[in-house]
Amino acid sequence: MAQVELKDIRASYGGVEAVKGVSLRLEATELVAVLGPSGCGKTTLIRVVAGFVDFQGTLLIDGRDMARVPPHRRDIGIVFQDYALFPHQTVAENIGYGLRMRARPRAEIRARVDELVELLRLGGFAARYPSSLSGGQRQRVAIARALASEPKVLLLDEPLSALDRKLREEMQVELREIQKRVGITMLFVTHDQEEALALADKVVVMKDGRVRQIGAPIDIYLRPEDDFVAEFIGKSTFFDATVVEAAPDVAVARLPNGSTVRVPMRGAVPRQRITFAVRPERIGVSDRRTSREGMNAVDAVVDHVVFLGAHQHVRVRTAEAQRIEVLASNDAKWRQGDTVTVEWHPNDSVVVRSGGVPVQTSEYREEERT
Amino acid sequence: MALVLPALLVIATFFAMMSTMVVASFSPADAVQGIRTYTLEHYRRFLASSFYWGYLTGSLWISLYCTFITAVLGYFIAYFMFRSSSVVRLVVGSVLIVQFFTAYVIRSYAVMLLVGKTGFLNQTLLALGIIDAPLRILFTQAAVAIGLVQVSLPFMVFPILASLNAIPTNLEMASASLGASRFKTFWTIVFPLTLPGIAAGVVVVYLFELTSYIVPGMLGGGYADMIANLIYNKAMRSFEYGFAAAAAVVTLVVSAAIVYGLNRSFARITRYAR
Ligand SMILES: Nc1ncnc2c1ncn2[C@@H]1O[C@H](COP(=O)(O)OP(=O)(O)OP(=O)(O)O)[C@@H](O)[C@H]1O
Ligand SMILES: [Mg+2]
Repeated sequence: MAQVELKDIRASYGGVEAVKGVSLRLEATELVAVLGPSGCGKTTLIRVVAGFVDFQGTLLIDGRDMARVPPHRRDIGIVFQDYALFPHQTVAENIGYGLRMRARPRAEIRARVDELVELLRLGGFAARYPSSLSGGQRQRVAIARALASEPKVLLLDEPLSALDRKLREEMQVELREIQKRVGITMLFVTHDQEEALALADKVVVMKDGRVRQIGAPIDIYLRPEDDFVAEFIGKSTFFDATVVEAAPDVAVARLPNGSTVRVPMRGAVPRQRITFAVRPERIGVSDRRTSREGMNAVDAVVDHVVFLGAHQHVRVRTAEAQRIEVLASNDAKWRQGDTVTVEWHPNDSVVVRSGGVPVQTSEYREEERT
Repeated sequence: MALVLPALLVIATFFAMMSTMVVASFSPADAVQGIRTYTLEHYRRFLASSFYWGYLTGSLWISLYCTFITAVLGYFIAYFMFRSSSVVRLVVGSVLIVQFFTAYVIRSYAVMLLVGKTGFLNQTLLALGIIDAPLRILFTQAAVAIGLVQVSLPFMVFPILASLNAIPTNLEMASASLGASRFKTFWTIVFPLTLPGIAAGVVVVYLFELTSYIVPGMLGGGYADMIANLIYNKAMRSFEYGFAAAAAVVTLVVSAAIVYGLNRSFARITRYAR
C-alpha cells in the first residue's frame, strides 16, 4: 500500500558495481516485475530496498528516506528464492513470527495465522515443519509469513523458479489474486519473461545493473526500445536494412537481398542504417503466389519445422542466409526445402536500433551543399 | 565386503579389550592361575566406600561445570570467528588447531606456568594491587578446571562453528525483514539452529573431561585426582587389577548412560530436521 521510489540507485560488492544507477517508481498497490538475465543485479536491487546492502542514491518509501532505517524497521515483506523458512519452527510458528517479533497479543497472532493458512490453502499443514512440505507448500508458507504482519511492500525474489511448470502457472494466478485481494505493492523479480508479462502491471527490464526499459507488458513486448529488450522478451527476427526513402511516419528500407520493405519510423534519413525486429507470430508463410498487397514480403526456403500442437515453428532462410523465425498456424503443412514467401505488415515491425548516416565522402557533401 | 573387514577387526579388538576388563573386574584378587572363580568383591569395595566412588562423583561434577564453562566460552569464540573477516577466522582457527595438536603434557605445563605461585596470573593480580599475597591455584581443583577447559575448547568451538556456518544467511535476512532486531534474530533463529553443534560439542567434551588423566595429574598434583587417576594408581602402582577394572567398568556404564541421556534430549531438540 505504499509508494516506493528509487532514484539513481547504485550498489556494489567490494568494488564491483552490481547495480549501476537504477531509477524506478512503484505506485501503491502496483505489481512491478523486474526482469533480466542472471547476474544483472535483480537480487541486489531487492536487497537494497530491504536494507541489506549499502547503496548510493535515494530510496523513498511513501516519501520517507530509507537510508538510515535498519531492515527490521522498514516494514517490508520478502519472499526469498529459496524461501528461507525457519527450519526449527512449524508452519504456524513461521507465519506468526513477524507478529511475535512485534509483540502482538497471542489471540491476535492466532487469528491472523488462521486467516493466512486459509488464504494460502495451507489447512492441515500448520503443525508441520518446513522439511516435510513440498516446494509449492513451502512457497505458500513463505508468502503467508511475509504477508502476516501486513507490510507496506512485498518483495519477491524469483519465488516461483523452483517449481515445476504447472505449479508455477497456478501460483502465478494465485499470487496475482492475493495481490489484488490484499492490495499490496509488490516488486517481483524473475528471469522468466512469460511470468513477468503475465503478472505485472509494469515490467522493468534490466541488464548489467542498468534499466533498459520500463513499461506496461504490452509495450515491452510490442514496442521494445532496443535490441536487447526485443531479443530478451519473446523471440524476434532482426533485419538489418538501409533507408532509401523517408516519409514522416514511415521509411522505405532496402534489405541486403535488394528487396525493399516499409518500416514505421520517424525522422529517418536516407542511407541511414537501421535494425528492425519482427515477432515470429506476426510473420506469415505462404506460397509465393498468394502474396498480398501492402505487406512486406521476402522470398525464402523452409529450413526447419517443429510441430508445437496449436502452432508450428517454421524457420526459413533467405538466399542471403538470413534466418527468419515464424510461428505459423497448424493448418498448412510445410516441408524442408519448400520455396515460400514470408510476409508481415509494416506495423508489426519495430525499429530497435538506428545508426547514424554512414560515413559520407567529401564529394557527396560538396554535392549536398550546392 | 572387503571394506567391512577392517571395521570388523577394530570392533573385535575393542570387544576383546572390553571383555578382558570385565572378566578382570569379576576375578578374585587372590585367584589361582588356571582356576576360574567369580566375585563381586571389587564392585562392593568400590561402591561401598564413599572415598572411592567420591572420585567418580567428583569427576562427574567437575566435568559437568567445566563442560558448561567450555560451552559458554566455546560459543563466544565460535561466534566471534563466524562474524569475523576470513583473516581473523584463519588466525584464531590456526591457534586452536595448533594447540589441539600439542601434547596435553605441554599444554598442562603452560597452564602450570600461568597459574603458579609466581605465574603470570598472580603477578598481574599483585601488580594491580588486587591481592596482597599470591593465590594458591596450582594443585587445587581450580587449576584442574582451568586446564580442562583449556584443553577441551577446540572440541567445542569447531562443531559450533560448523553449525553456524550451516545457517543460510537468508534466514537472518528473513528474520530482520519480519521485524526482529539483531539480538532477537540471534535468540530466536541463530542460537536454536546451533543447538546440534552445541550438543555434539557437549557430548565429546563431557566424556573427554570425565576421563582426563594428565590434566588432573599435573595441575592437581595429587590433591585433585579424578577417576582416571584412581584407576591408574590402583592398576599401575598397587597392582589391584581387579579393583581398577571394576572402577573402570562402573565409569564406563555411567558414561554410556550419560551419552544415551544427552543424545535422547538433543534428538528431541532437533526433531524438526526430519
Ligand atoms: N555477496 C556478493 N559478493 C560479491 N558479489 C556479488 C554478491 N552477490 C552478488 N554479487 C555479484 O553482483 C552481481 C549481481 O548479482 P545479483 O545476485 O543481484 O544478480 P541476479 O540478477 O539476482 O542474478 P540471478 O538471476 O542469477 O539470481 C553478479 O555479478 C554477482 O556475481
Ligand atoms: Mg538473484
